[in-house]
Amino acid sequence: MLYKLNKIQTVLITAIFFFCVTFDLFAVTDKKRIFDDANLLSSTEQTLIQDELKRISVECDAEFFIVTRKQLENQNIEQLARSIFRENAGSNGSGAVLAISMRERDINYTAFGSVFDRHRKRLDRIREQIGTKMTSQNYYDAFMLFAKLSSSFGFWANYQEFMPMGFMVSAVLTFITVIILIFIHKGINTVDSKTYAVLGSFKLTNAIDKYLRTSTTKTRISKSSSGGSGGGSRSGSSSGKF
Amino acid sequence: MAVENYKCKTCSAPATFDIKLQKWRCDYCESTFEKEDLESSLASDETIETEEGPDNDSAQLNEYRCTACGAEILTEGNTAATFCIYCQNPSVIKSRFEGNFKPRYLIPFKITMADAKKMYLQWIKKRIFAPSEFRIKGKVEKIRGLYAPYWLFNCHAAGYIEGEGRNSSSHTSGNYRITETKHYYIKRSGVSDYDKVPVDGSENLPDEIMQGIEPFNYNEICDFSMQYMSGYLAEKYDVDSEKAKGALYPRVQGFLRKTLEGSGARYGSTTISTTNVNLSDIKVAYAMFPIYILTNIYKGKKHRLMINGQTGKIYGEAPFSVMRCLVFTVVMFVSLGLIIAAGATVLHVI
Repeated sequence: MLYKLNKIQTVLITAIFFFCVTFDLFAVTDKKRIFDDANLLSSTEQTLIQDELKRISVECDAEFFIVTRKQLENQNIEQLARSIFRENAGSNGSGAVLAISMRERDINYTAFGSVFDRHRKRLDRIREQIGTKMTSQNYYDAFMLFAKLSSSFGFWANYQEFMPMGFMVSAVLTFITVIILIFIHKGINTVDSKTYAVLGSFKLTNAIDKYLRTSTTKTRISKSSSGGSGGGSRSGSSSGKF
Repeated sequence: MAVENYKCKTCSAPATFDIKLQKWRCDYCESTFEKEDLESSLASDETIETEEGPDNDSAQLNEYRCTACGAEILTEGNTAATFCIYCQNPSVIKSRFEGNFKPRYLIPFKITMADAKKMYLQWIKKRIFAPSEFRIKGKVEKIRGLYAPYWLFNCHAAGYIEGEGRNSSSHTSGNYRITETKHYYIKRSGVSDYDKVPVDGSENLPDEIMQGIEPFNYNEICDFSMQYMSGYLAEKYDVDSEKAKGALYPRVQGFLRKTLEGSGARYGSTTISTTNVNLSDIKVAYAMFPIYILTNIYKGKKHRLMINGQTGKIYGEAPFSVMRCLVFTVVMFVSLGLIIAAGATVLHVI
């Protein structure tokens, strides 16, 4: 009995051992999803973000990567994003890449396949929201936001995203409406400058228009670009500065 | 005090002006009369003559005897037409329409009291921030019709405005948007004539609200006749024409300034720094115009509302509920925000 139990135990232990080794090997060979050449993250932060990217990759059946560079070499920011995705997920996969170049202050968000289909109208917005965090040097938050925004699909996820904009527009419209309603609370004054004027009696006797000066104001335009890309797979990209 | 009662030629009951018929009608036998009929009736009727007060300087008096019931009635110093508080007999205090107080023009009531009440209820319904207690019919019963004293000024205005006009244009250059604004010195001089600019002649009637119910339709203006006063309240002026000019000047100056601003070359935006408008050839006429007044008291504060008795235009101080305003603002803000977000989401998902 003891021998038999030991035999069963041995089989179980062996099975568990193989399972663990296989799992461990699987874990060890887990795909690298963050390429932080610019050293923006601590190792703890890298681990946390790697786990999060892995989680959403499984959840969305897609591949998500983050790449940071100190500076760009022989390629632009979008090319960098596309090459990272191609090298790590193939040419026809689905997913998204966030690419950052610190020297040029470039930021790029490129989506592929089904992720592009779901985010095609908000590539700029996603890039801008992440860019805001990058500008304030909240790199960890920025990369977590990339994970969150990239994996948010469906009506409710989009609804939550549009809510701040909805309430901002609503605040402006409500303010204008209330001001108008207060303004017309007494009624509307319909007398104007012509009401009591004798028809045809107005004569403009003199009109002077003398040029004085020209003033010029310059406003910096924040540039952004987005659009689809050729190739076998559906994809789109949004680039800008942070 | 000299008091006139316009009486039915058939039954001698009081005859009052009927707005819909635009004639005088007996409230008892329903006979109707033209103005001339009443004038001849008054001239031939000796019993209608008046009770005299203790002083013939009647503009200063405030007591008269009702010719129907004999009651002693006290009136306010400016009241020119009223009712006996005991028998509701309409009386026109003749002496308050004589001499300097004789109006030149009059516009008869065209809006009946019933119409005025309906108009008020429709108007107040649209005032979202008005407290609900002012939307009930009971409040409307306090409306009263009144012939209000007006000064009508004809004048010639001449003047100029000076200021700066600006035209802007934008273009992009590299990463920058360049906005160029050209500044011009502008001056416009001009003249214009104004006809029958009204200024109310009563201290009790707020100028801003009286201007709010303008304009009156001058196509229906007619010579003053006391018969129109029968059946209505009326006040004589207590702001003389010289004092009324104080309100005339800024109005006409504003009119000419706006006309000058809109004349000549146009600019994207203008700033007027100097306005100089002088009035001349000022002629004035005294007139009585029809209005309805409603005074609401809300939280101890009087809110006056006027209705133009000829055109039905309403203007005034509707009571304002801060709580209603806050509730409206919050409800609109939240619901609109949710709707806009939902709309944007649907557009995005599609």
